[in-house]
Amino acid sequence: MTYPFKIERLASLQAAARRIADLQGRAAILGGGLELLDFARSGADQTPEILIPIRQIAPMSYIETRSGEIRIGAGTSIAEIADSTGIRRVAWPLTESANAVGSSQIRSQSTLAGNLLQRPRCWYFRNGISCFKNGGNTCPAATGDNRYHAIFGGGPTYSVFQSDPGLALCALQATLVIVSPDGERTMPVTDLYVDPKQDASREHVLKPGEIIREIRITPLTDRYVGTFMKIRERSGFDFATVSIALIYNNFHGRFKDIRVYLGGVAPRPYVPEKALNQIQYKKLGRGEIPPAADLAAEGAAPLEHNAYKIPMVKRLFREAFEVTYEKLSWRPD
Amino acid sequence: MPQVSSPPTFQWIGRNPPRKESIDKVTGRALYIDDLKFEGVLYGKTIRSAVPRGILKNISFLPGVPWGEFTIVTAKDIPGKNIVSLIELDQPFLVEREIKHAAEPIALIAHPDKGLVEKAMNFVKIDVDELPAILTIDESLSGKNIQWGTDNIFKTFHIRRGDPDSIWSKADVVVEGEYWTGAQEQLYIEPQGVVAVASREKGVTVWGSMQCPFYVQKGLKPLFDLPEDKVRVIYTVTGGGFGGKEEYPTLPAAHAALLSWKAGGQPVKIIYDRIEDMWATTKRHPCRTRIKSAFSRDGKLAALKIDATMDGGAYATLSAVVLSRGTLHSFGPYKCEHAVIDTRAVFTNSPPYGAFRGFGAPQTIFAIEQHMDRAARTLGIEPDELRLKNILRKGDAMPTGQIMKEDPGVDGVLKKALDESNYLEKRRAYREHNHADSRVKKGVGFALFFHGAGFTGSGEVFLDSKAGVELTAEGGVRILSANTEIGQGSFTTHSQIVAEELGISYEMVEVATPDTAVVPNSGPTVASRTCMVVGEILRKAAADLREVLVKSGHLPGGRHTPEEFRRAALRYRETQGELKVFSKYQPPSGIHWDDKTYTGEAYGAYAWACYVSDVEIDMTTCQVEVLDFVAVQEVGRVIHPVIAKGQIEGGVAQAIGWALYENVVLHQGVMQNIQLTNYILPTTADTPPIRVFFHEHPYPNGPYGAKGLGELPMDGPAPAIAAAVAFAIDRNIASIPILPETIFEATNG
Repeated sequence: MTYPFKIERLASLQAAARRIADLQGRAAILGGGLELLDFARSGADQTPEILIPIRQIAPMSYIETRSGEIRIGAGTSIAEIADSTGIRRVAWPLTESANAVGSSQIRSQSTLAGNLLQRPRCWYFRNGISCFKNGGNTCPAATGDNRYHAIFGGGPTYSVFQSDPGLALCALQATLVIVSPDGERTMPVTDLYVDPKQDASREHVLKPGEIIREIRITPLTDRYVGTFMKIRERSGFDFATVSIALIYNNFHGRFKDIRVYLGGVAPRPYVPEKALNQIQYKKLGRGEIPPAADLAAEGAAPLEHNAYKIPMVKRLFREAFEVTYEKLSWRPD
Repeated sequence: MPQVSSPPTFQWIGRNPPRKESIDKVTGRALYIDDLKFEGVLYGKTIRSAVPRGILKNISFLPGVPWGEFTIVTAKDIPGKNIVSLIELDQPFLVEREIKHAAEPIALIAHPDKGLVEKAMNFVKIDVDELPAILTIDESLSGKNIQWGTDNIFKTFHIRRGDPDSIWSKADVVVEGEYWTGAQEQLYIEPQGVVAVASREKGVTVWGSMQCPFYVQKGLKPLFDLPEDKVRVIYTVTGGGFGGKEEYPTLPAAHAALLSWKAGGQPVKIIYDRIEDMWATTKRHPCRTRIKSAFSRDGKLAALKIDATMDGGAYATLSAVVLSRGTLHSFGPYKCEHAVIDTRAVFTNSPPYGAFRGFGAPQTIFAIEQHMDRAARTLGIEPDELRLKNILRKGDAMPTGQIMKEDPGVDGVLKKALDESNYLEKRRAYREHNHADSRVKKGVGFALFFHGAGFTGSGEVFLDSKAGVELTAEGGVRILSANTEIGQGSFTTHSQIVAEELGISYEMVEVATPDTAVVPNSGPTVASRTCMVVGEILRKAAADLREVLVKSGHLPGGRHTPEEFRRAALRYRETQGELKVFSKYQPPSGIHWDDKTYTGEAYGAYAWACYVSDVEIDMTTCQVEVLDFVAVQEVGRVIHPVIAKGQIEGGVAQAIGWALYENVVLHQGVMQNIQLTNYILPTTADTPPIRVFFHEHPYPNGPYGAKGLGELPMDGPAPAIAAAVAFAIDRNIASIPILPETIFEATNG
């Protein structure tokens, strides 16, 4: 297959950042290339003319521990993350989420940053139907077949957040190191994703020329429990219908430092605040879980075809807490 | 290893020699059609209709593409007849005037730059005057919009035995039900693909991924008005077919050949991508079956009325024969003295439905098996007990009048399957569990069924298949047959049969590439006939070859070593030259079939089977997980246990897809979810352990007793899974696929 891409090899990340900033939408970074190939084949998006391979410019594929943090190169493959014993030991929800991505071929080829920045799976968008995300000014899913779309925080667009590792990284409170034409900065991964009410055309806040260089995680101590879980239509090769990343610890016999994010239900990683507040600081006990789970879908505004996600959210919230509860080193019941 | 009831007493039969093509495939040496390189090749693309019905007004080629560099073909460029030669002569290769379905081929373009030809497709404008389309079976039968014949009906069948109408009023219990099975895409791994070189001087040569080279040859002769020896079709290594490469490859082959013909003989390659393949090619016939049955209170089946309608799509293609097989499997392995069966295949403006593993039988078997479960529920009798009261035994007759001359052993198959799956105990335990637990429901269910191997009725006689063997220069033997290796292991099992018959080593047997210029027409690679029918022809040819060597004094009569055979073969070739021996199909004695009344022996041999499925349903996600699957079948003789088990496992997995996941979403008659992201297939992680058991009861007319088994595993899983789901949620299940939505609606409706 021949596509009209031009490859440009640049000397440094900084140079790549500058070049992309200059070319605006006409250039893109080539990491694993999965999204680029998909879009080139479907013709559903303005395919960039110039590709800048990133993994050869600087070390981009590594997992190391430094300054008490786990540092993951943005070009590290999902498979390497899934296989890393270091990550499994101190950031296991990320391991679980990496294992839930696509298929082994996709995990081998895709990069962590590419996964974080993947465009929505919305079937209107992916099939080139005019919408906010491809230059149009509607969201066909609002009134169309929206069975896979948002039940929280939608409008004007209703596509959902689909990155499994992204959800786990939110719960892990990961930090991103961003290279831009002006230098380098860090930001929490939870700030990466944009509310469609502010910008319906895109999903993240990075400007052209801003490149994720590294992802940093503070290791979980053994007081913490956590998990990543995903409901999907088949057991592999599939995106989440509903997913959850959950982390908390036992703080003097109480549920503490709960971080819970839902995927597949909102345009961004979604925090079920009501449920979270219900259980935060409560004394550890199995009985606390069901009342919180019942609140997990509070505030949901389902569309015509996706109310089925509401019981799934409650159920997954409950299961995630129940599964992790069993792993607590101390529990009263 | 699967359990086989009798240990092998043969040199090669019942053993597991390495597959003939396996080394090439695992080392990447095997060349599929897209791997073949041709000098100066043009890439061809098919311009298709976007609407289900209309009158073609104009085809325009818009500026923006260097059209002068392209080869362009429309219907008016066709040198011969613009008709696909199948059962009915109704389908054009390219639309001349009336478009009958979305995705119908209208024009062809080719260019040396593959990227450019893809881009150019967007610069072809088709002007159509749209006409009202028929999109459902009911619309077709309503008579308001007649587009085929006088009634939109491609074919009907009628079978009658006894007088069911005399029973209904007297019956203790009458059970009625309507059942629906959806379309299904074959989803071979390798999409449709061909390369053609065609010119008036040199004739037409086609290489391609296909099941039946002689079908393609038959289709191309009238298209170019060429004699048989000027049309050559060569099979290339084929990545799966499942029926999808039975009749369909004639179309891309014709299209590539037409482009090459117009381009002055330059080779033209047409490879469909997955989207085009799913959008435009044939699928399993959707089928609606209505069943009315009368039972005595103790569960004896007294009368049966079956009415099935299949959606055939926009052209007749193979619908008549698919319907025939569906008809002949609709009554299940049950005795019923009063039965009437009416079936029909109807026209709609959908792309034609076509051959798919099972060929109509899975549709009607699903209906009768769900109906038997429904009857058991109504009667308050356990499904296994109801079956045992009604199964065919020695001396019983099918509604076609076919008498069971010996006991088919259905009860043995049923008992074995129930024992291996621990069915009765699970049934009790799951009842208790379901009573107590509302989050997860458990179910176990089974299906009892048969599959007739080979062509129906007199089909094999009309085919008049011929196959042979020849001596090679190395003193071995080469198989000459048109039957293709599409993953089912035919090259291997045929080699085993020939090696066994000749008393030589398996390695001394090779298989000629199915090439219409080299091999005789041994019939199509379809209908579970390749091992049973063609295998037996090859066995006879091998026996005749040995006899020639013995009679000519080169080989001693009686036993010989492989080395003695090799020396004899070499001596024969030195002194007498080449030796090719052919044999033809001979119908088994005592088989009579009447095509007019649809009575007699529809099939010489049936494989009998019972499949049991154990499922768990998450009542929040409404997802069904198959936890365990037991497949017990009687197949005559297992030639290669690993391949046979592979056939069963693959078929079961494919049928799990049909039962639980694969939902062909139609709009304007054509499939919408044409990507693997939204046409959901089960992955290996969704597939349970499949426990395979073979019973062997050698069939005297199959090679070493073998019967066909390729399609059998497609028949049983859907009804077995539906039965298990019905048990788990305590509701009747009447349609597949059983999506989470189906469960949700059934339990919340």
